[in-house]
Amino acid sequence: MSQDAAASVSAPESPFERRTISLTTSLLAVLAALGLGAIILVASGINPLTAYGAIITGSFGSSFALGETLARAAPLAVVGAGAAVALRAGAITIGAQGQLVAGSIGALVTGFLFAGAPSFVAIPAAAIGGMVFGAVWVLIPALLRAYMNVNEILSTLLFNEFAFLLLAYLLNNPLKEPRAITPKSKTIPENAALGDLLGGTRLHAGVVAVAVVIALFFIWTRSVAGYRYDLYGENPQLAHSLGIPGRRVLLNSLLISGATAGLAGWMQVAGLLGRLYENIAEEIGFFGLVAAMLGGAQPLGIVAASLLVGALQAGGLHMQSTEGIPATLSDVIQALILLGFAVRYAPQITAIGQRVIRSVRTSLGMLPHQRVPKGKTRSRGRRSKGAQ
Amino acid sequence: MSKLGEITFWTATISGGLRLATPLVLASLGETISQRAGVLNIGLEGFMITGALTSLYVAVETSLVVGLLAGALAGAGLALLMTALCVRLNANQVVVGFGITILGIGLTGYIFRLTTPLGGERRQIDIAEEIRIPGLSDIPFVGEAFLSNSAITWLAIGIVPVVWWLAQRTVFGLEVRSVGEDPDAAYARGVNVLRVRSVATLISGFLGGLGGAAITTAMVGVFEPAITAGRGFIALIVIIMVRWSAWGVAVGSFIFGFSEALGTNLRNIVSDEVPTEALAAIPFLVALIILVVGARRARMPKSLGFNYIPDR
Amino acid sequence: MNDGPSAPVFEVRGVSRRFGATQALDEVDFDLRRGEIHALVGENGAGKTTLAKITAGTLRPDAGELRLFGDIYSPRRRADGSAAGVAHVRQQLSLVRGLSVAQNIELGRPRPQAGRRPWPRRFKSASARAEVERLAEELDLNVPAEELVEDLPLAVRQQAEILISLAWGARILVLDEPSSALGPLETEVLVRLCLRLRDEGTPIIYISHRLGELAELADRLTVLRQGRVVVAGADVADADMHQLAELMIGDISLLEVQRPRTRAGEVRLDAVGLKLSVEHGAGLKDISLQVRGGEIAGVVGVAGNGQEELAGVLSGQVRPDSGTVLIDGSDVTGSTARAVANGAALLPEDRSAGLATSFSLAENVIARRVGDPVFASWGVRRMRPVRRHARSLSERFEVNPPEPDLPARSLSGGNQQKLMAARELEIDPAVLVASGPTKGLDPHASRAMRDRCWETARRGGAVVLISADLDEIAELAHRVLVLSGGRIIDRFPTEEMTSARLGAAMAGLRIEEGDDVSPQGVDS
Repeated sequence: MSQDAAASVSAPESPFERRTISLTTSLLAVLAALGLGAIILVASGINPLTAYGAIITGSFGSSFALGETLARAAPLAVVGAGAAVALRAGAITIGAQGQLVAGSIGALVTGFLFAGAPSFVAIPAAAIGGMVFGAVWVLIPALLRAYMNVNEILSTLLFNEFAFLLLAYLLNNPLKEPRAITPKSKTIPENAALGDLLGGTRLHAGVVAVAVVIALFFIWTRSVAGYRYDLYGENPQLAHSLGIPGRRVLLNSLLISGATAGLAGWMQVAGLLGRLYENIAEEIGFFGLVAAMLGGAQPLGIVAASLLVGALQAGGLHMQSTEGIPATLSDVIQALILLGFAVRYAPQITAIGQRVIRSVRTSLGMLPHQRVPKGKTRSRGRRSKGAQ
Repeated sequence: MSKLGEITFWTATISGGLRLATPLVLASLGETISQRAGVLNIGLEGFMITGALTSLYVAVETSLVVGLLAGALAGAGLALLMTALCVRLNANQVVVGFGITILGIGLTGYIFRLTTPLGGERRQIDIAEEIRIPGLSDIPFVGEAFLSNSAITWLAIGIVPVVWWLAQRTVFGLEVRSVGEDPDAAYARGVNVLRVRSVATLISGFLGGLGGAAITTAMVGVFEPAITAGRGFIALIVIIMVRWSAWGVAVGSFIFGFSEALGTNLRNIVSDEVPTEALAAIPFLVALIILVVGARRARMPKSLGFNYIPDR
Repeated sequence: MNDGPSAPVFEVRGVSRRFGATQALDEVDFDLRRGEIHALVGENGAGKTTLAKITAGTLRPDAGELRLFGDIYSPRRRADGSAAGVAHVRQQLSLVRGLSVAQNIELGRPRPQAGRRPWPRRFKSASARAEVERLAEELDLNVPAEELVEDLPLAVRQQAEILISLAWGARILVLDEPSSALGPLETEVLVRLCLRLRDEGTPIIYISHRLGELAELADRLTVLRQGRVVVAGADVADADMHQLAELMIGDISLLEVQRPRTRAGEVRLDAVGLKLSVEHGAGLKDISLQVRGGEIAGVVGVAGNGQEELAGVLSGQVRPDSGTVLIDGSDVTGSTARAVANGAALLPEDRSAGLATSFSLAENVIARRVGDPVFASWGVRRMRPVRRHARSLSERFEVNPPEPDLPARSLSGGNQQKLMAARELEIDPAVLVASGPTKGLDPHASRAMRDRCWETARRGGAVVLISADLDEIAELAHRVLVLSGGRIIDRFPTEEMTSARLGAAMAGLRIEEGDDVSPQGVDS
């Protein structure tokens, strides 16, 4: 059918050739985005060289800058890896933001519970607390998706709002730091806090977790279970006919993505900031998803994309403070890169995107992986029409 | 608590609900058309916020009407990008929609920061006045609650039947439905699938931009980063609930607007007993319920989300 | 211009069209005369549909020239063809399913060129409806104006589409495989309609790959093979059908029919009292069937009479409202996991449902055995044995090219089907449910798929072959079950299959003994 035609137009099929083309086009997309960004800068009367110079200095120019880039890329990679598990299974949550907030609350609360324990107990406990809270925050959307076909993009988006409101409530009431002007919580107990990894930077020991998460994700992509989840995302009907339980796939993959987002929340609270703030999540949830998409839901791709996004953000802030150019310019550039990637010839992103579309459609009323309910037709014959 | 029994509380909440529903109605009407044509546009939020900034900035310099029009055109401009990427270049609709949302938020944030030095003054205008219908608006309760609205709300109410008429009573409406249901057959019947989808997406951009414009120029009077606050996504929820119908969009948007107004107005009454955050959660809770109930009944356009490539 | 009775109204001169590496049409000449039905025949992939699309304006030729009523005719899009009076009724039909017939009549309708065209044009539902009803009465067809197309039976959709063509002022009609999904009675109605239209002055290009039905219908015929004309406009009355068949296929061995012999064993598939109701389609109304190992049971019927539902239930994909499905005595009702564990294999009619197209060949072929200790240890997949296995299986099942790392989407339709068969049949299944396994395949790929079905039976599997291709059923099946309105309405050994008996049963005129007696099985 027509939706698959995009993928089938004279695709270069040797793996090496594919990888080369994919890499070149990625670079081209980034360059094009920078070019468009330059046009925007010129249009607003700013010398693009000044702006991009500041971004580079602020992201790679010094050990502090490099630490800043890594500290920003770290939670993105964690969120991205979790989001990728869900993306590969055909689920897309915009809820990482809320799950991250929930995770940071969970980490802080667990940190207080283990205030008397030694660090080697308190630190993992807080991390697990963050993951559990993150997973709990996606539980209802995941159940709704798996059992009632409720679209998870929209439900997790609402749960983001709930998370922000819960955080605001906690910061104004039970967790409030008494004499603070802007709402913030008490600091996490010393024994649950993560030390700095590199002196003079904000790079904290929590980034070790990134290596673990990426390694686990790498194994996941090569595991039997990962294959089954992938197959479900790629073709739910086929997976169903092979006996792969679709509901469990959806539920588990969403829970995994929630737990990793919660882990990123723990990294924020136990490593970077030490306490809760209203904007503890910054935009990590969204840009983690961007990293997952840009990275084609592949481990190395996600690492590269996180570094790119992290560098843009760190550099953008530097550019704002030194040159007075708004840091949101880096969001614009990221968006342009994402749009470029959506158009370029990239088998991975096309395939992932197709899965997402299929999944969104499913949750809007099509039921490919479930039995035909009374009074509903199966979508199969319909959709196959015109395939030849 | 006794204020809950007072009639002024309810008239204020209903008229506030209509006001808050206005941007939603406009944006979801547009999205209804594009989704009926098979284009799933997650970038609605991006359209709205672009429209919001543009209309305010233009309205400050010129007039309200010009501002609204500029906002709508800005939305359409972004829709043109979406059309180029998804309809013509066959890019993935969800990825592009997500990208357009980030682009809209980023770009408006950038312009806002550039034009608003820290601590400096924001551009602002007086929000539009209520337009009362002589006679009718003086009817007790109904007149106050439903019939005293700002011009933009009246405009939104007026667009509802227009969109309905367009969808149900014109050949263009048939074409829109046909390319969303079965583009292959529509193409074979001689319908220009890509053109119909492009036009539908542009209409959605126009109305989405207008919806964003309604927020700044008609409701708030100033622009802030991320001022649309997820309304583009709420609009998507409304559409699922009402199954792509124009009248349904009006009702669904009002339900959401009303619950938002209720949450706000209750704050003045019961803030001692209930945390304000819980009241602020009311509209989102309502949206969640709508989403759960709506998802069970949704029958979507059959090729929603899928691009179409003619085989010539 | 020649205006005589046999003057060509439509001419094709030297038309070529290429798709990628395939030359779909190679310098084709063709003509259609006033007052005739000109059959265009050929196997799948011969170029018939491409020629039809070029005629209609959906496709543009790479080279060559078209003339309509003597004038140069070069439509740039479908709408130009409609405006010029060329109507194309596609095999998969082109009424939009979510709209009514009356709405479809306005959709894409050619408009008068003169005068200004207001936008948006109003859709006047009452006059559209009246027009449909008037034409239906004139043509003596039972086409409801207001019902959604998706709720109409296929035959009625087809009639509706022909009706709309006439409403749009069609001067010539191109019917692409119009009878392929029709039962014998419906085909008769179609033939009568065609003859009537011809006699009333609308010449018809009638595309088919069934030579049989052309004898009573067509005046002349043209045979295409691999994009070339091999017989040009021969009179049907003089034609030797057998010779034409040979010309059409070009490989005589494919025509030989030899029903494989296998020894029937124990009952392996046992389905009892299956009932299922669905909104669109016939559902299942108390179906029971048993298939023994080594046996191929052919299921035939007009499309939409429960075939899809039966395949779904037998393979465990769909849980029936009541009834059970046993494989070798184990209950697998409504559970694909149990069905797969008990050795059920499925070749779905819709290939897109059976293949992960962006996965590589190796990843596809391993889908059923991914957790097998040979291919995974400690829950992690081992790539090398998988690749090796994929290569050897691809060679055994003749998947071409047998490259393990190739994405499945880059294979041709026939090779995708073979890949699917390799996955499903490598470990001899206990039960194979094959739905239209050769649909849309070229003769050689079809041959290979038929051999696979047969081989599965020979190795002791119970095979349910659901197919619209009666020749295929005749060749492979040991016995035939006729589905109509969700019931098995007749069953008999293949030797007793005659077109009369089949036709009556497919039309729902025969009731199996023991069933309740209603005159029509079709009541959905």
